[in-house]
Amino acid sequence: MKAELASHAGRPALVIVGGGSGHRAQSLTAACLAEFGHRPRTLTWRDVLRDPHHLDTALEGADWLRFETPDQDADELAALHEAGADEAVRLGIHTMPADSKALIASGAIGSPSQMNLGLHKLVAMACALADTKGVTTSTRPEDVALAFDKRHAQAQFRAAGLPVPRSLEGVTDFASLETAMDQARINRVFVKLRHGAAAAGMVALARHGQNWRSATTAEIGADGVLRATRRVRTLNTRAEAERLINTLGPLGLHAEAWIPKIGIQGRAADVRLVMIGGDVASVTVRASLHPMTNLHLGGERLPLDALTAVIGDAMWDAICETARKVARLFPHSDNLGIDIAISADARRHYVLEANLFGDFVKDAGSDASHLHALAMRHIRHKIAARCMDRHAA
Amino acid sequence: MVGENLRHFGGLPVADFRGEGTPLDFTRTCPRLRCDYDDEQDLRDLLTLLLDQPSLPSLTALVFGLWLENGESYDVSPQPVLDMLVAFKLRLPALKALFMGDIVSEENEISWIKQGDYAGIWAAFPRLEEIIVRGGADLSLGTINHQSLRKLAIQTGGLDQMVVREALSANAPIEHFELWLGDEGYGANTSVADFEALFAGHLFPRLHTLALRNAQYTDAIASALVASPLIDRIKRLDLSKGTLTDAGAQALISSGKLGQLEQIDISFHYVSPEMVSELSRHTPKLIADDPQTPDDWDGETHYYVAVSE
Repeated sequence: MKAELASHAGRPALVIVGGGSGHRAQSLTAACLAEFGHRPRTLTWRDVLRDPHHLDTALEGADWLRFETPDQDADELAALHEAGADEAVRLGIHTMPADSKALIASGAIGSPSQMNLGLHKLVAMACALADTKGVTTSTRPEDVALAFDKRHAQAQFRAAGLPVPRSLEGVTDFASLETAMDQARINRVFVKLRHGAAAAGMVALARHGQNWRSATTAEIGADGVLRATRRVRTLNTRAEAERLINTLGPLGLHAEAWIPKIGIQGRAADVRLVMIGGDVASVTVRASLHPMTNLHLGGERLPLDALTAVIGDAMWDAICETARKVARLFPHSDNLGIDIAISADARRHYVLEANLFGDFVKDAGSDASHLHALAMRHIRHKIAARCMDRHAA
Repeated sequence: MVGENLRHFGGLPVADFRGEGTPLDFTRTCPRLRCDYDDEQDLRDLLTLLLDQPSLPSLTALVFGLWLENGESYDVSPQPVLDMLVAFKLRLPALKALFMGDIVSEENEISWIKQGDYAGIWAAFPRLEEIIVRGGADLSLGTINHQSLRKLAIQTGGLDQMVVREALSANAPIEHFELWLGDEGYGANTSVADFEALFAGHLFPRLHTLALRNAQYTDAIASALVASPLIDRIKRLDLSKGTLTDAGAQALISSGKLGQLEQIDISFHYVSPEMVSELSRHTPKLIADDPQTPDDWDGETHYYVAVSE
């Protein structure tokens, strides 16, 4: 097969947009080197925004275009905010000032909806360019629009018959949240930023009569700016919950029932499945003393055995099957991270989120290089299959 | 926080009971009855179902988990369930172990778990050997006169003095006495003085395990206990989930009384690594997991218990 590839286009060339820097960039480069024998051509999101000609040049003679998460890179986040500014204004979405980099570098949550509009716009532009050159892309704009909009994604999952937490409708601020909780008779909810990532701006709220308790990563600074912290704090009053939800509200909210997660080794656990090519490539069981299990917020990784010992193999098989069904809703995406919660009584599981940059697990350590190697192998197989199709045609 | 549901209780593996299709051999399984936020059944429905099981006479251990009505926990008491247990006591002749409130933080905060009045339980179940109650709101034990009760445990984020007095007044062959005393912000209002009679050795002649856990005054408990006659006749001491510091650890060591204890558990503690090593040298078996560091704010040092809210 290698010979056939070589005869077709020399060694297949990979272009990466948004490869980041540091450990992740090194890991991606190493994986690409190992699989293809050369480095990827890398561009930043900022490059793509500033001068699409860069991308045009990079795609010349390339086989594959892979998109990567901006993660916490302030330059990249600022570029994506900038790319989404016009559309955000048109839609009346809360927008960030033009020079948002300093704010974002200070940990400001920014405007995830605006940033997502920017991501969608740049992915659409890059895909259009790639299409003209016969370059395959790691995802498509329609998948971006679905995956990173929690409200939309949950509705689609439900429509596809997948298990999801009950959604609360019409939540834009604290008053509408309370009304929705009353109507749905739900006293424990997760409020998330509609386009949020990495638990930024996430709040787990529990109501007990007049008492409220909120666990959150969001902090309103003395300057009034919303920031995401790595420390999960607990707010013990209704007034604090109200202030926080009302500050998050203009950024766009999604609210859903808080599924009591299964407890393992004294912690609340859920599972992230990384799908490559539609199948389960890697599993991370995450367990935390907080309602948010994210590893960068202090969550711990547990071996899969610790989970299956509690929930049983049949339940685990059902979870994997659900994950494959989720992946089928993103047919144009190479990889996907799917978060699934299992109820405390292990009777049910629920799809919480899907992330197109799924093989990026924050603080994943050596797992990252393993996943990048798998991703590169998948790309090579896809390119080979494509070549054979073309030969057959 | 309370992070995990029971896997075993009363010497048996715990399995959720929902009637047909769930384990019904109660010689091998301890059934747990629990509600679910996505389900309409309340605990009375489940208990009704359980009470109709033909294998009920062999049931020795029983667990109740999350109690809800119409999907809500607010103001929902387990009292109807306690009353049903008493009313149908003849159907549960072998009950030895009862857990009321196997509820984790993800389901409901411990300080929000509403409890009930246990006064009727003691006479109804003379073979009961072990009872564990989680949650202190509206909890009342009544007068405990019992011939078999060996283990009494009350787990709370803030325990009221009245309940502590009721527990200490138990007239029963208690071997394992356990209280999670909790945080004053969540209703704890006891001090080491409440345990004077216990430490003086006047109570529970068969006491083997003393577990005064999750306390804001663990150092004071340690100091008073090692100066008391009680230290000479217990085998296991559990001061975990509390606020033990170097001062309390030093008091334990200085007493010279630790040698005859089988085990001390101080997990979730504020003791320095050097002092943990020192304590370990003086204790046949020391468990000192989950070391903590105090919070500093407003120029003060704050020591928190493990379980409060």
